[in-house]
Amino acid sequence: MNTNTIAQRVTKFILPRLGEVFFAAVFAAAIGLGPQMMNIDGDLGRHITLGNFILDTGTIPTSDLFSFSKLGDPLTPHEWLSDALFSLLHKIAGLDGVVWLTALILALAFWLIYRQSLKLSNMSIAALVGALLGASAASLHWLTRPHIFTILFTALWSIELEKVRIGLKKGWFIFPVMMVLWANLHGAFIAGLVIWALVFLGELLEDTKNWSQLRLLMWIGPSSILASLLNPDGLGIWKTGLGFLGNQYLVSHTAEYLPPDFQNPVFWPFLFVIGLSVLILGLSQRRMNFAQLFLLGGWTAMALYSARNIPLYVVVVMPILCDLGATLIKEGRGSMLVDWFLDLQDRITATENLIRGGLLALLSVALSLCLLVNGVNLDFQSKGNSFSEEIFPVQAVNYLEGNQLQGNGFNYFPWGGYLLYRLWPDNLVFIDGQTDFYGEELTREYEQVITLQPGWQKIFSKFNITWVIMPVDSPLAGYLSENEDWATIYQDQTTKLFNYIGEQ
Amino acid sequence: MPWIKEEKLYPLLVLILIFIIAVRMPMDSDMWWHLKAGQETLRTGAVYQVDTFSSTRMGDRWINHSWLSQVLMAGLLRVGNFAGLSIWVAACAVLSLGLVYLQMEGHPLLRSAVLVLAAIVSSVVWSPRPQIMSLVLLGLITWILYSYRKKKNWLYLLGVPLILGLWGNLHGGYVLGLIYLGGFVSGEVLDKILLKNSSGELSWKEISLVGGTIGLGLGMVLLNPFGLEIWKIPFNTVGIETLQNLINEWSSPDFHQAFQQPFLWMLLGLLGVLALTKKPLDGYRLVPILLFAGAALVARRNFGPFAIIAAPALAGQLQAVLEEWISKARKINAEFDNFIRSADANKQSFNVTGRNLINLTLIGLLLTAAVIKTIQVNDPDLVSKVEREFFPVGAAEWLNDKSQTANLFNDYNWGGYLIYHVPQVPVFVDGRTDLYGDEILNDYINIIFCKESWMETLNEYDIDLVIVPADSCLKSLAVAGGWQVLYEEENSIVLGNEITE
Repeated sequence: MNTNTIAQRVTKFILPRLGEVFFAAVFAAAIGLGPQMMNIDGDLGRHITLGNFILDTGTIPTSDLFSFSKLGDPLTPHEWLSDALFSLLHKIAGLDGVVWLTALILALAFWLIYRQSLKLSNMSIAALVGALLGASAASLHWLTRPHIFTILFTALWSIELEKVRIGLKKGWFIFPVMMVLWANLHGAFIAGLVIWALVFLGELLEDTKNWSQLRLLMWIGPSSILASLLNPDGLGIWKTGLGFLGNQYLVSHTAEYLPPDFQNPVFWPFLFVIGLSVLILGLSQRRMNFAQLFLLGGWTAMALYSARNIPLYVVVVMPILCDLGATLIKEGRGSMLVDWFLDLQDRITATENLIRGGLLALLSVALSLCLLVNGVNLDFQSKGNSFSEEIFPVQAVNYLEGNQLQGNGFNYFPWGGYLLYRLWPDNLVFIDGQTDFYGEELTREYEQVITLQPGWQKIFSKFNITWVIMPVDSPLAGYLSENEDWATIYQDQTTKLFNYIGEQ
Repeated sequence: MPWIKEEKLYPLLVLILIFIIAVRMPMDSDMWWHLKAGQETLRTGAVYQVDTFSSTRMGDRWINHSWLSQVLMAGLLRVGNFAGLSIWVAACAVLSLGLVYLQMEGHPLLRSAVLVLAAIVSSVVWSPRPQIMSLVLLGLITWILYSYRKKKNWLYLLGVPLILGLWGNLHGGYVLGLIYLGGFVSGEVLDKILLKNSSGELSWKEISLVGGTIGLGLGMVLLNPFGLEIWKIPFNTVGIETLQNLINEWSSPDFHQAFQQPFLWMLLGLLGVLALTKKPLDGYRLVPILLFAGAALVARRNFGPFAIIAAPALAGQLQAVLEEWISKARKINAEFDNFIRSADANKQSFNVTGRNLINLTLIGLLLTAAVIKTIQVNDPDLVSKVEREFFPVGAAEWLNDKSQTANLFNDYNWGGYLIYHVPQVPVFVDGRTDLYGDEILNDYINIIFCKESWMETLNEYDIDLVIVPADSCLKSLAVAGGWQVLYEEENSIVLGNEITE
């Protein structure tokens, strides 16, 4: 092998492809947004605490350890594997490690969307625009929580299923294997089965049927359902998931399950994608197949129903839209603008065919971990990955650590996870973000107290509440400040801490 | 020959059905202040435009963009009592969707079915308020543009400026007409750029004519008591940040609630038919659909306008899909082909007298149902019961008995009711968000949601009387702060401080 050949091979490896640049960009953006990702959601503390317990004891708890309100009640640990992974990275690199893992998973998921869009459309520019749009629409759910594994698995699952649908794949064993992992990583593994059902139904309705392919598709569902039962709670994982989704009160009182609020600019990219899908379908002269139509329609409905489905919508729908969009552009051949665009695309494709890439992605992932472990702040504001004092009761918990309060404490629901992260096992919480476990009755009691609805004091008596930690501007904090039975023992700009001093 | 052809029978039945759906008890929280403003305009002979209803904006100028609708509402109340208002709402609903039907293409049964869906989607915003006039005028303007495009007769366009001139006095929603017109022109231009050769496409000259009409319409909107200021209304209203915290209809749709889901069905139905046909949608329909779907997803008060814009496209594309399927099925399956042929033959041979009898019976039954529902929803006992459920009837009576004036803080949704029923006590806030602006509304939110400085804010306004829902957090807080419960009923509570006592 001469020097020129070696140099050419090295160059091929060094120069990045478009997809790789996109991977690195998403990864860098997620690392840069680290503090936001971990502060928007209050559950990270709970995940790390549970993960720590699993790694330290080598057991997966199936009853509650964290709350005094439901201590010992049966619990479905449907995210135990994610929690263990978060905990592992936390042990290695603290909160930086958790952010790094999240960024890696997100970058992988959106790179897969790019790759699938490219495969279907044969147009890297369309694939890149689609993936970028998808990433920005999904960015509202770039959070350090197990949901990110569902985003990744939805991408993997959809890609493999599409291969089966178009006859490129002849085996179904990969699906139950994926499902075992998915069901232990996150409770939304049901999304995979929804995708399967929509594709299977769509293929059944097509005029021309390939029966051997349909048989193959048919096996995927039941085998994956059986595989999902391989988890610490067996069938309980289905009961918990479906029980929660079937409870209108809980669904309507869980922030991430609420529908998108399009008055908030963070949802505008999603609105744009919906508009784009109407535009493309309106202009297109190509009839869509039923499987694609059901995926598009079904996931549009689910994303409009609950904002947490938007990332999954993006993963499923963007490749389909890129495919249709590319066809539409090609139909316009003959117009000067379209011809120029297609010529540009041809030149990009030709250049990409000469490159292999890979180094940029590897370097960005490895280097960022090294820098984070060595204390370099890589977030956009260079503040480091920590829980914000403006959002969580950081200083109040410092006070609590030095001044242990006796009895049961009533806490603000979004702070439950953080309190566990800092105070467990010395202190248990009243409630935290795992609404599917706490259930409707306790959540209603919590709501009754924080909105001071008639009879709320009885809830305090029922649970022997002796101290309260609440945001400063909450009605409950306002009431307790005025009440002589309660003493304000700590206050800062975020938190008020009260201790009961009345008659026992 | 049947007495009434099926092309007319189906829409007639559906329009009566729409009347039945739309005729409701007039019980909207904003209706009351509209009525009061209309009565003031009729009493004084001058457009009501200086606030006398509230303590927070007393004496301030108010751009009362709906003054003409308010006069109409007050007149209807005077002539026909609440029944007059409920019939007016139902008539507007029927008219707006009747105009939509005229723009639909396809089999009458299919068009009627789509119209029912459009009616269900729109029904969310059918209420005795000036907003209902915007639905009628939007239907009218879309019909005019459709007719112009089809017949290429410029005389149709003369209606556009006239409608916009009237709209500027009836409701601030005139901006919907302008958005539609902009979308129509953009759609035609899009077709030209994409060389789509859509059916009935306009020439550049004809597109320019529509553009000129829009310009004229913009001028006509200014013919109102407030002149140029009417232009501020859409921006002022949409610019209020607290709007969606207070008014459900200004917030994004919540599809967890069943009554909002029909919009989703319509949107998905549209996606479905667009995906399943090879026939592209004409630009003049596609672009307005994009604009109005976006508007409806941002604020659900736009469900009605979206239904009006999307229904003709949905019917047209659905017809294309069904034609493709039936033609394919007839080619593949000889039995299906025979079935279609024999169904056509049977239809011809069906006894004409029998058909007339069935048709007249159906029409008669539906008309009877419409009359019964109109009477039922306006039954005084039922009206009183519902009024007590949704409004602070007892608290208003208590306040009238005391015949005292006070600095009142009230629930936003009850402001209009109190304006109408307790005119001697000015309210803190009511549905006229454009009058109050973020300044007052933020203070209102501060108090009603018991935020940290709720008491300071109450004191800033020297409030000595509070009327809020019985389960409000203010009850516990105010009582703990030394306020007295002066009156309490199932849905409302009156709190007074020591001075009031």
